[in-house]
Amino acid sequence: MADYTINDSMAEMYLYETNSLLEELDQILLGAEKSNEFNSEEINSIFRIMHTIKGSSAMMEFDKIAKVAHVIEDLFAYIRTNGIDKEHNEPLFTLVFQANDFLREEVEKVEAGDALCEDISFLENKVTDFLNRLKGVAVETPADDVSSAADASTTVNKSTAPNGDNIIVVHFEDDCQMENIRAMVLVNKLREICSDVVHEPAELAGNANATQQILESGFKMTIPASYDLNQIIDFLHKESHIKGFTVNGGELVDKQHGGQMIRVFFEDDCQMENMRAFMLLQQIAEIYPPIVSVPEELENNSEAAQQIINEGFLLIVEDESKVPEILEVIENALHIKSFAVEGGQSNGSVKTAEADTTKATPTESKPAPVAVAAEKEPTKAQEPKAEKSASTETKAAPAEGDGSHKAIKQSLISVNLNKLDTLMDLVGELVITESMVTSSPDLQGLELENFTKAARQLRKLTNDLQDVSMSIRMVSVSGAFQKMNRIVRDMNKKLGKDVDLILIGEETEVDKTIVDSIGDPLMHLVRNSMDHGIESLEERIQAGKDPRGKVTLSAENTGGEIIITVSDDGKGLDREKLLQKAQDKGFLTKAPSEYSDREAYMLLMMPGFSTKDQVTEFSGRGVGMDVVKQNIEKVGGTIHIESQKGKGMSTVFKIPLTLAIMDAMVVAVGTEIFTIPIKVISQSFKIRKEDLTEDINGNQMVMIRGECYSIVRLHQIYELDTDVTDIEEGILILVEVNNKAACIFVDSLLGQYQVVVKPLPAYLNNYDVHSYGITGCTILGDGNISLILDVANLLK
Amino acid sequence: MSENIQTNEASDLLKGKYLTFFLDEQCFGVEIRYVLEIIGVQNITKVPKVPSYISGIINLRGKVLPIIDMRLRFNKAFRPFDKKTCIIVVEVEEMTIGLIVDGVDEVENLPDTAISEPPQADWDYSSNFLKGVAKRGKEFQLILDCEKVLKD
Repeated sequence: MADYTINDSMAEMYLYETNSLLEELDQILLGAEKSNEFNSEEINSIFRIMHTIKGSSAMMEFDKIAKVAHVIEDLFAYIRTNGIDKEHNEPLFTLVFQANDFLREEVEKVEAGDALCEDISFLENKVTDFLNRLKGVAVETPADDVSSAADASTTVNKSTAPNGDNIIVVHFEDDCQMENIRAMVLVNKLREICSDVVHEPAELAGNANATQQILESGFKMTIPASYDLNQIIDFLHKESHIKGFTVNGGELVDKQHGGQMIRVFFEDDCQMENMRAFMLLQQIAEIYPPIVSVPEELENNSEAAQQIINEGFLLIVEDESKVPEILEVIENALHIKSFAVEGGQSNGSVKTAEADTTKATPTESKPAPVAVAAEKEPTKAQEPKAEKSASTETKAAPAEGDGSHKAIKQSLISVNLNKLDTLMDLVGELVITESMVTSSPDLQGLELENFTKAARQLRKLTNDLQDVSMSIRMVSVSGAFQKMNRIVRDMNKKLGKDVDLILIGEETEVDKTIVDSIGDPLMHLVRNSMDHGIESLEERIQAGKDPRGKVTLSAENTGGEIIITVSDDGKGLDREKLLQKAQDKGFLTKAPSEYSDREAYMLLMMPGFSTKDQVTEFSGRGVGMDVVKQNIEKVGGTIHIESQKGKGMSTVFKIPLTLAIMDAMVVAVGTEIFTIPIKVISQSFKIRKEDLTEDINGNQMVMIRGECYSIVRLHQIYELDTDVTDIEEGILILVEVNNKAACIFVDSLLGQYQVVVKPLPAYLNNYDVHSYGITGCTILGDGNISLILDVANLLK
Repeated sequence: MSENIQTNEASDLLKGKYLTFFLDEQCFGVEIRYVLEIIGVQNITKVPKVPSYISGIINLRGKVLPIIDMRLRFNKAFRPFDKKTCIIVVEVEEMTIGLIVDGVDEVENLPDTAISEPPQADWDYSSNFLKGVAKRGKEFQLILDCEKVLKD
């Protein structure tokens, strides 16, 4: 990070924000690509995303990122106003995906503290080329463009000049003086966007008659049809001292009624007024995109800051119905000293806001604001409502404006995961300590009514605390799943396959650490499925399969563990080929025929194993699967592969709910103490010797209610010393999981407790204890550790 | 960045320092930078189906640590724990692990020059775990390679 002179928390915020925006962009693009068109909402969102990235990147001084975002923003600004032909969609998608990837890479570099890419000309050129191509089309059909623009304009197009030119008549404010000079200034400014303005009167400077003429009949301008009328109208809206104007003889657009202005002052000394204004504008643009601001250029413009300090930040809202909503946003924004709604433009309004020390929003804007607050007395006389103090006014205004509107308060915060980890650890400790206290041997045999009451209350509170702190960490897997859409899309393109991605159980909530650790494994598996699993179109048709392949991602919470499956309907694994390959590489430890299917498939997870003969861009280097295994094991999970030749394969992750708290039966075997999840226990009971039978291998069985169950002696399978080996002395626990049932024989039951599940130390992963039925451990009330049994694996 | 500098300084400070301990009358040394703390033997929970030198797991203030019995790791005979027996908690490659030893001795400064390479002896199992051999007085001191102890 040494290369960037940035504040860490700011950088963190930037990364978080930019990453989520890029993800959103990805989703929008994928959605749009599916329907092969952009709707206006999507275009607006992309524009907004790029705009935000541009702004924040510029603030963080990542100029190149800002530049790329800027060109894309320009592109979409053009598309937003002019629309896009369907034929351009395809290259546009590719282009924006490319830009998205670039931005992502750069942001990753920022995260890793690497040097950023300096040369962005290739991308810039592509975007500019594309934009030119788009514009090239637009120039060919200029008439269409203008007419559609004119249709969309807010004014009614009643009569155009015979040659298609637009005629605008501007009326200046009464008493503004020197109308001829103002008209001249206006024309000069207008020439920047429209060079061939013809106006009447033609002679303006030093022509007193012109002033009279403008006063009487307005200032008439003729604008050739090839210019965007909307742009000019926008321009006029922003100009000062214009009372109103008509377009092509249509209705008078009275600026004092047709638009509202909000003038915002920031707190003194709050610094970076231009950036603050920019942020504010962003927020407002979310609810009202056509917002226009003065000064217009905010970023990288320190003059703007001065202007805002002196004159306030001016927002122009054409749609009055949106004003209350916007006011609310302003009200909720930070560092705002005051703001006021002004109907039109007058110099007095500046004083208005300056005079207010609190936020003041006159409930209704008067056509002529006449310095509402600066001259309090006359205002009160005109408007009884204004008698309320400024602060109550603030609250009253939005309520009166729109009763149905709800406050937009930010209710989400992002928290560092480390803090949540610490919280979770502490809660775990608390639960353990609580049971240490309440089951303390010192209390044995004492009658403690008050203590028991208080302990019960404490128990309830710790339970609640547990639930809350657990739920805080839970996030849905949809984020991790959705990312695969993009991979499938890209690979479909590159490999010429037609594969659908099906997501099941996206809404399943799992611990944040699990979501983080399944990201890479999922990507590897989806890539493998796309590359190796699913056959080419011809092969599929030949095999009589649906030419469209399917890759399915599913997530399921079974209570004790999360099961995540990646499956495809491709060609499946070829056992013989696999074993042959393993033999060639010297991975086999026994004769190929002795390998079970399951063991054979697990060979895939060996480091350096790859069945694909050719290394492709996506997979085949044989580094994938062992990384998958490692990642899953890191969170204490297991992985196994199922496959049917010709039908497809699926990879299943079983990940225990880390740090989960569960109800469990604690049992003793010799000196050891084991914990069995309550949810797998059907019943526990004692039997007599006569109830036992043996099968031909000498395995013991017991008959309960007509069902036969085998007996699993924990002390035997775990090789533990115990005095209790007689079936009549110990106790049997009937467990059932995944349609398998058995009776576990233990010495005795110690009781039912709530336990905090902790993963086994990573070091023990080397010894595959999971497959012997041990899934984790827990710390008991006396501080000792008890192993938690995974009955499903135990019964295998 | 600043953290790196700190750890660099810290490791400079710890360089050349070794915690010495005994196994079967033999003196071993482990670089002090690996050592987190030394604790007495406490109740160890056995874990089934692991090599015998893994004694099990313990609860160290809420953290679950695997415990390796160094005697068994070096193929020496098991000896019941006594008052001097203790567990050296080390952190190696982000894993925290406890090593059961017969007893710890002291922290000692050993310059690099005092340590010579271990002999390349394939037949002796335990010499594979050594980083070097140092002489102190009349006794030899064997410097442990923590990374190797944890791997097979």
